[in-house]
Amino acid sequence: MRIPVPYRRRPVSPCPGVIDITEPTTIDLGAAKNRLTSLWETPSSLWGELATIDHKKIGKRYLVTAVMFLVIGGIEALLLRLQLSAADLDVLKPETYNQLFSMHGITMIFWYAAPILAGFGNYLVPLMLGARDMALPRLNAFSYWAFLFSGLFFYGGFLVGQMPEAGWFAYLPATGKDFSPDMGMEFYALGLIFLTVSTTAGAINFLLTIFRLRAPGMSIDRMPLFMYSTMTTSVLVVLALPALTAACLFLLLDRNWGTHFFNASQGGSPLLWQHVFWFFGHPWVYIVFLPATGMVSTILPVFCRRPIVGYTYVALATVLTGVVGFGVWVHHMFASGMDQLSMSIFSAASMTISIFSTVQVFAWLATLWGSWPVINTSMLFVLGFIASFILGGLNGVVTAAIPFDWQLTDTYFVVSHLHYVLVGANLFPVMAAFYYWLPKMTGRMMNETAGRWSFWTMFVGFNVAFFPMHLLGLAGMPRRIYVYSEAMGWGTLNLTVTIGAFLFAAGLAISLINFLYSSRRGAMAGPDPWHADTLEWLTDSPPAVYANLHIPTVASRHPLWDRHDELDDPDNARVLDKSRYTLTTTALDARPLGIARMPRDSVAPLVTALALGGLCTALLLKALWPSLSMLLLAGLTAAVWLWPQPEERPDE
Amino acid sequence: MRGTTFKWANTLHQVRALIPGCLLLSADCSGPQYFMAPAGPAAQGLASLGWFVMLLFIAVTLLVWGFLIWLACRRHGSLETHQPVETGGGLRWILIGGIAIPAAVFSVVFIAATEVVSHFPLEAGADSQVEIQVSGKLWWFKAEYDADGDRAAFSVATEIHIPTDRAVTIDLVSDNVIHSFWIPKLHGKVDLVPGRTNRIRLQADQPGVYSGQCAEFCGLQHANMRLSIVAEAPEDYNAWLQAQAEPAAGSENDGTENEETGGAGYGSEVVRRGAALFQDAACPGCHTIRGTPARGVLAPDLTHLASRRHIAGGMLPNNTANLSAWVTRPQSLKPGSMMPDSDEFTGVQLSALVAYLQSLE
Repeated sequence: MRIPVPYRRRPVSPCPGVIDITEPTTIDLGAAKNRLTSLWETPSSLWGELATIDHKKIGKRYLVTAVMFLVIGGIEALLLRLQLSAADLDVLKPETYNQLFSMHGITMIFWYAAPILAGFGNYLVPLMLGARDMALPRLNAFSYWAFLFSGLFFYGGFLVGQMPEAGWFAYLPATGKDFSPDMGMEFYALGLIFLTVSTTAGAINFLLTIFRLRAPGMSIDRMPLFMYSTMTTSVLVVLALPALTAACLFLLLDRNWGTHFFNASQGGSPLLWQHVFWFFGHPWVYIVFLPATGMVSTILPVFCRRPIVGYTYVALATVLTGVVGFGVWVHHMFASGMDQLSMSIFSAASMTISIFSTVQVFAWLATLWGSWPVINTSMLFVLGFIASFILGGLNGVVTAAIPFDWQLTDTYFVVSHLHYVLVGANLFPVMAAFYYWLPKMTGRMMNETAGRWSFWTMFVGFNVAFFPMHLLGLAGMPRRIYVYSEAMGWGTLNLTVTIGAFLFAAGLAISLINFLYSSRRGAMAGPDPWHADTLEWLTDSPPAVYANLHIPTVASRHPLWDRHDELDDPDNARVLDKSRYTLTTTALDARPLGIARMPRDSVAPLVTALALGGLCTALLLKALWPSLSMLLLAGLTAAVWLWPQPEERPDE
Repeated sequence: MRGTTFKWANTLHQVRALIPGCLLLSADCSGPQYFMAPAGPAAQGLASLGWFVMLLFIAVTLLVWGFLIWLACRRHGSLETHQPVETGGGLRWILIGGIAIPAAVFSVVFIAATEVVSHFPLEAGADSQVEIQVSGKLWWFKAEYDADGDRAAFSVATEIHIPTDRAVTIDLVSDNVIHSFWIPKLHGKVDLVPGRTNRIRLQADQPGVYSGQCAEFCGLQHANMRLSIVAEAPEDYNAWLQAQAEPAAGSENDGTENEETGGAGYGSEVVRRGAALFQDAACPGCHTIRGTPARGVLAPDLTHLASRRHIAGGMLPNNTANLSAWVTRPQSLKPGSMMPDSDEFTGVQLSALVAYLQSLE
């Protein structure tokens, strides 16, 4: 299985310290496997499923749920496109159109784009690090449940006909009580606050996992690049999301409790919302984009059959994108009447951040350049991503040229840009990742023919749908209009866009059907179908509940491509089958630090998330006592959750 | 292996064929709001910058795409036959292609953009006199012209007249939600933000009607919040100002106050009856017709309604059919607009009312 490579950097045994930590065991490995299985396994019962904290199950749930939201958001988009396919159409009522475009944006940006990456992160981060679970497995379960319930809560508004109507960035005063009197904005604000709880918990968990649970020897300069992007993203989440929470809280207070944060006539400012929202909003763009580039930096070298060129540059570019990402938010507000100096600073920052992206693009191109690439579906999606991202990045720089942005902002040019970036740089890498990692998750290969059909349908549909939007923007079509007149001359292009959108949806459908079919009927994958370099391919496909029998050790950036045997453990010191153990290591060098005991399954995270969902509902109805009791319930379950656990012994 | 390579080269060819196809579609781009064919110095400055940046980036995109396609088609390996190898090198791609060239290109773009901003044509000086105040309503634009000498102040809806060949300064305000003032062929967008006064200076080189629309989502009828700028030769503009400042036609002898003797100012008996109907109905609650008791301030000033090309916030051409429909069924034409449906008029009354509105030259 191991493929010898002509290069070796450090032929070392990386972790002499491990053996000192735990006493060597002379168990027979078969019994150890059974013990580990019974320790880590989720009982196959409803209760077991509800209480499970297995990151692999949670990761898959994240993926399935996020794809559901993708499908819902996609159907909304298709309805919008039907209404716009010709001039003066009457397919949707104006309020329905406004609700649908708001729901489409909010669903895709908040409940699809970030959660899908959290799903891959959840599944892959521990496996890539050689750990047995996330650092805080119960918090991980809580993150998922809170994500699910916040989405259900938000779509509860859909069921009762109370939806936001003013777009995903919800500018005040249009979303204030005077102009949006129904409860749509309460669903929006409470739903998002609920979601930020989930996302923040998830991010903290990723950070802790990446900094504490790396396999011995996986020093910070040997981490897969996916870890750099997940780490950067998590820091962004922790720092940026409080702004969203604050904005939503202010909005709720303004709407329901008579404060005047955004009320110009009482000394507030509608621009405050824009600043606070975009201070969160622009980093969020990188949150939904960076992990995808990390996945590409992981997948592309495997199919190029060589390590990525410029690992350090890519890692640094990733981190710097996160840092500078905090300094570009005003480029969403160039038309709001701002002085030239501030605009120039934000324009310069926006162009600077593009350089970090070009570094990544050229690292991928350079990797391709010296290689004999293997072109399969996964790689096609990666190439499609690079092509879309080049265009989407550059048309973004066009909008960063301040004065020209006065023409472009709020037109279809911007709609085109953001879809080239979000579909191009999130959905295409996600598809590549599905084709690449589903064999690991399901144990079966995805159908290649269907995959290629899907890619070409999606890629052609994508460009037919979104390229003409540039031209519509230049022709002066503003975004968010439910109707336009024949005289504007936008009919042909809009019809093209609609046809492209349906083609794109069809391509996506082919892949989704392929996933469903192939995960049951596909050819067996084996542990490492791509002969890849990262640790997740060390496990079986699908991985055992405890991942690896021995916690692996790492001696290079490409553990499965070097000569070092990750599972070499003559004393069985790294089996750790006494309890739910995993190894912890130091943050930079990944020297063994100790053994962490992971918690048992518990329904407490589920109940806590349910209580928070109840709290949101009670706040929505402004019911004081139910709110307080839900808060109390959440507190009590959290206490049960955190109650110290007795030492656990596997059944002998 | 050879077969596969050929197949993929073929498909990639198809993609390449798609790109010029898309560019050809740009023939569709002409239109009343196509801002790359500008009609004033401000929009001209923006369009020149836009062409420069876009053509530059189209060239860069095609170059990198070409490179990418070449890399993807040039040669292929397989998982079985190609072991992972560290071939080394390639860093220069990142240093030159990923850092040096983009830094230079983006610097040029940034300098060009800053240059355009700092020498922006028509930049409002401290001395520039505000001539028009535009406020965003739900969902129409109101333009107020100040009094000047003998001329009284007046306001119009949706159609803003300006003289050609000189810059006009416009203040932008809103007392409801955020709107954005946008006449693509004359200038970029400037938002109308409650609590702030933003300013725009624009100039039209040729007489003409330049259409635009609200560009920041402002609620249910955002799509139908349109406006146009009518640029006229200075003498025509002055004549228009004088005419708009006058009270309504026929109102010098207002028919509503004394139906027995009045109405001499109106062109015909039908118009006189229409005027009376207007004053008796709910209309004066929101609309003003100067020279008559109608003094409502919520809705557009109708004093010279017949001189406008459009009604309903620029949505409908101003003609008999649309006026009749708009007076009785605004909620079907523009759902959510502030004007209520009305069942109070008989057919005869409605035509009298419309005749009156059409007499308001």
